[in-house]
Amino acid sequence: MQMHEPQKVGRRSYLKYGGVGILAAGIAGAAHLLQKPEMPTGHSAQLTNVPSSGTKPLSTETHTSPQRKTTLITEGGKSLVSVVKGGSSTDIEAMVRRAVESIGGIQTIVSAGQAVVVKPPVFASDKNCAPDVRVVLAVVKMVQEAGGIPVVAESSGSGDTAFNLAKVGVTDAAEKVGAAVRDLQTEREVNIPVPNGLALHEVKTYPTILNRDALISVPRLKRHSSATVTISLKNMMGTIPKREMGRFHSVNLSQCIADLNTVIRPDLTVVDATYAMTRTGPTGGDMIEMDAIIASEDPVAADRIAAQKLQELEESIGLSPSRLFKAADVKHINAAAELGVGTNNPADMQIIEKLLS
Amino acid sequence: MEGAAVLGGLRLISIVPPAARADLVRPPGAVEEAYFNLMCIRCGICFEACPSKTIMLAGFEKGAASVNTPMINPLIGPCEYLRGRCEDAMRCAEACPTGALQNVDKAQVKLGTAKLNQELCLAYNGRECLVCSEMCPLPDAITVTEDQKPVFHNTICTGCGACVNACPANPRALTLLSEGERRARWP
Repeated sequence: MQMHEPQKVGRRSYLKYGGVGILAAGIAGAAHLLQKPEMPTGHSAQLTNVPSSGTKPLSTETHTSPQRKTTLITEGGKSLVSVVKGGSSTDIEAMVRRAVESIGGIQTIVSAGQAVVVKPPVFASDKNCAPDVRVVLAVVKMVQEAGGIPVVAESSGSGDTAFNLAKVGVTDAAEKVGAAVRDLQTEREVNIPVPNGLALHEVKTYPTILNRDALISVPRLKRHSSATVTISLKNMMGTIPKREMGRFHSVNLSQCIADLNTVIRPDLTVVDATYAMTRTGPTGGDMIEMDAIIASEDPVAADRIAAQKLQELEESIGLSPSRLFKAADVKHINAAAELGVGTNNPADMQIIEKLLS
Repeated sequence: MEGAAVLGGLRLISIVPPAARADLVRPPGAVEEAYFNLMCIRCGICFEACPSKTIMLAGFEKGAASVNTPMINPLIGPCEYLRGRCEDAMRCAEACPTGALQNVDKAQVKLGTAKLNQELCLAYNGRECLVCSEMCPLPDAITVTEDQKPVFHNTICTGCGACVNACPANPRALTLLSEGERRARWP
């Protein structure tokens, strides 16, 4: 430990404060009461948990969830999922482009002038918990080429969102190509109903999410301590305020994730599986190279296939059996399939595996 | 004038050495309590320097001698020196004009210990919640059992308050106490 020399206020002014004070010690207590520091405005709200149900939103704040197209790119009624391996190539942007082209291309989702929200999970300021910046950048560029207006938006679970986005390099990368980066937590919260929800009846989100024309989820493939895996479905928890995330845990996390995806469903999912986080997550897991990009218009199918790849990877690296999981048993993926968000049955998917070079 | 009077008045009270309190968690680098109370001039500069405003000024409920001295309130946010946002610059101690907060190495800092009340914990009541272990900046301070329950390791915990801040249980299952704190050496 090193000593710290007094700097800004010297010994003289230190004594001066004391000297003045002796004269007026009598009124100290009363004046203090008047001076009691104000807490930041969010504080009182943070102290009280939102009840799980029964809260009636103010009618002026309630918005109906926008109607989204529900048609999937399918082949013979099957959800298309592409898995592109880099092989000897390390060009991540080319992998992302190939993965999206394999399922029909970005133009099937984005048309000119549309506001497209690109949603990477930036849970904390740790680079490993966010997707590779090059994957986010590739998606942003593809949206721009299709004529869309990309907005990179996030609401972090841990810490300050703007700080986290800057720290993992997303802010710099997006702004360099002229895309907006939005800290959702600075926006006004809006309530939306969840008509098909089993655990959720309404959920708070933000105007950027509500007013989107399309939503592209760009998660990293990770294990998760509470939810087993965190891929595209769990990524949608980054579109809601922190207090709502807490409420999900206190109600029924898996069902809440599935319910949320019925109203905030990504139109395209691009999973960064170049490196996957194994053993635990969303931070602190071991990063293992997988060298793949997985894309699909069906977030449940993307999650199911990505989880399958993660399961196989963990089995191959000899992780202790108590830490392993089964992709077919991930509760929130199965719950989302039950609600019709997508399919979790590999028999209903067409998986296109490609090797870049 | 009134402000100076308040400061001075509180300086007088601080001559009385206060008893250590479990519910009064000092900012990182604080010297031992008896010295701290004498050296702290209640200027609030550390509070202003804190990026997450985790440092707040104590009120009368923490004892008359501690009024307006800085304390960590994990309900507002965790200590960012321990969690990372301060990026190894100890903003509160660098701002402290008197040395009541010393600039110390991050590895030496232990503000206190997070205490878990299993009766209130969601994981111990059958919910899928391990938010505390997700938020913890240390790899081993909170471990997870095979049946998905958090276990707290007091000797590893540095008392940053990240878990207490994020705990979604109502009422919170976690509290931050100054137990086991490591203070900076003085003189």
